[in-house]
Amino acid sequence: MVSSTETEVPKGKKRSLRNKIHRFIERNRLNAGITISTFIQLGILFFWQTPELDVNKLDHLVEEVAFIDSVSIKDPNMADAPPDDGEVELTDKKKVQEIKEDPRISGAEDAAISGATAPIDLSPSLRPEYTDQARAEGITGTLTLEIIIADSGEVLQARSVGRKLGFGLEEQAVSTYRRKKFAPSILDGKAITVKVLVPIRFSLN
Amino acid sequence: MKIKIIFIILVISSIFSCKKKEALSLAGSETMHEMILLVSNEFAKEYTEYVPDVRGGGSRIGITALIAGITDIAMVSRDLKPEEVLDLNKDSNLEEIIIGYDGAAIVVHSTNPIQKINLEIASDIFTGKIKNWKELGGEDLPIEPVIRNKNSGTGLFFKEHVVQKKDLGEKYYNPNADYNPQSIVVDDNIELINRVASTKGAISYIGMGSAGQAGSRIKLLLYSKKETDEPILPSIENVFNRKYRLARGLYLVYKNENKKSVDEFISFATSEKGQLLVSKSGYLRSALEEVQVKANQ
Repeated sequence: MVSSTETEVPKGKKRSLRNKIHRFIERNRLNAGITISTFIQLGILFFWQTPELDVNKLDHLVEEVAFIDSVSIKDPNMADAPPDDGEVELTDKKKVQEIKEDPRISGAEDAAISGATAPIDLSPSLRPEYTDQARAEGITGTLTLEIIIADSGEVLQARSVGRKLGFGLEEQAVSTYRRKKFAPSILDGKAITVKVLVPIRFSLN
Repeated sequence: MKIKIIFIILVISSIFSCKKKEALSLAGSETMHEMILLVSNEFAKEYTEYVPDVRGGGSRIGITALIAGITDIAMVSRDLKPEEVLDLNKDSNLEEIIIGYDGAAIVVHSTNPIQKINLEIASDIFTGKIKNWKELGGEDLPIEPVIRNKNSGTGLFFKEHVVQKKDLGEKYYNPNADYNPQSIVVDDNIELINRVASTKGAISYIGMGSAGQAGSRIKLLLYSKKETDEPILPSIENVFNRKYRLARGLYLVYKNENKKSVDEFISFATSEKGQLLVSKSGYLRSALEEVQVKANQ
């Protein structure tokens, strides 16, 4: 018995390779489908699960952060390293400064409770700004900063409390307030370090 | 057939879209109870995915519940004790956010002719040294101190700062001084107000917001730290301008575990809207005025 497709080919003419493949697929449709699918899955598995190379992960990190000035990397598995959660920790000059916290931060008073005067913002024109990313994403809402104002009027610490708006807005607000200057709180004629909360509302027109 | 399929899809999608509401538990200070109820009601209107549950009982109740992990936020009207800080820092980082200020008010029966009191006299009354209003120029009537139970943050604050005279400085501070054991002990502010309003010789202490809610049922005394100082009435204005010298912070204490509901509530309570509700409750707001950052999209 001759199939209908075979009848379409003129007698005596040599079948082209393309026609042969088409005929093959036509005849073995199910088998071909399973074979192609298997190859695709094997390909995905091969590229997805890249075999682990036997190199020290720390070396990768060293290469990645080599361009950063004054960065040292601690291996948590080293004998003299302090116990931690196992994550590799980056330390730079800035972080070392943060670890050695200014003693005035923990001793910061509350002006209203102690009876001290309220600190006065001497740089009111210096305000946080929207980040391009937050604006593009249409992010709006309020974040709250807790700032510690030193007896010298500088902002010793600024941090975001409560929910995070993201897209760089917290970082923007913190860096702006770190640059601000205040007239310090005064208690019994002496400047003191105080802690205050500042809500910042971001809105788009 | 098509209509049937559309109907089934609609039913299934509506079932999946009905998210379960998340509970947010707050417990502690009686002083902060009404204020936080007001804040949480407005919070629940804006953040419909949460159901806040606010319970009083005293600061110690809130701290104990927070340590035990059975409340999300503790409402606390006194400084945390070092051992409480240690306990709260065991599993996660403790956060303590001040959301308002109170002026602890000394209150008496509405018909009591006494107008003012100073720290020294208040200490002598609550320790039982002064026993009759006659000794202060009032009626010949026994003084009946009404105090809160041991869970109260206000009770502990008042004991430390007034009864033990901490506010007069190291020279006068007596950490062994305690309330007169004959005092009437009450569990919450409602009971306290009722007791003072119905007892002619009563004297007690309460947050200025709660005292304001009691209206003319009780009388607020003018207070001064020293006899020579000007006696001042507890009010938002007098706490703000630092004239009233029995001011304290009202705190929300929680474990910093990045719990969304807790973070959202803290942000709401410290936002302009939340802070206006703190003022509406009769307490001084803690946050500075909201900074507006506007941009064109």
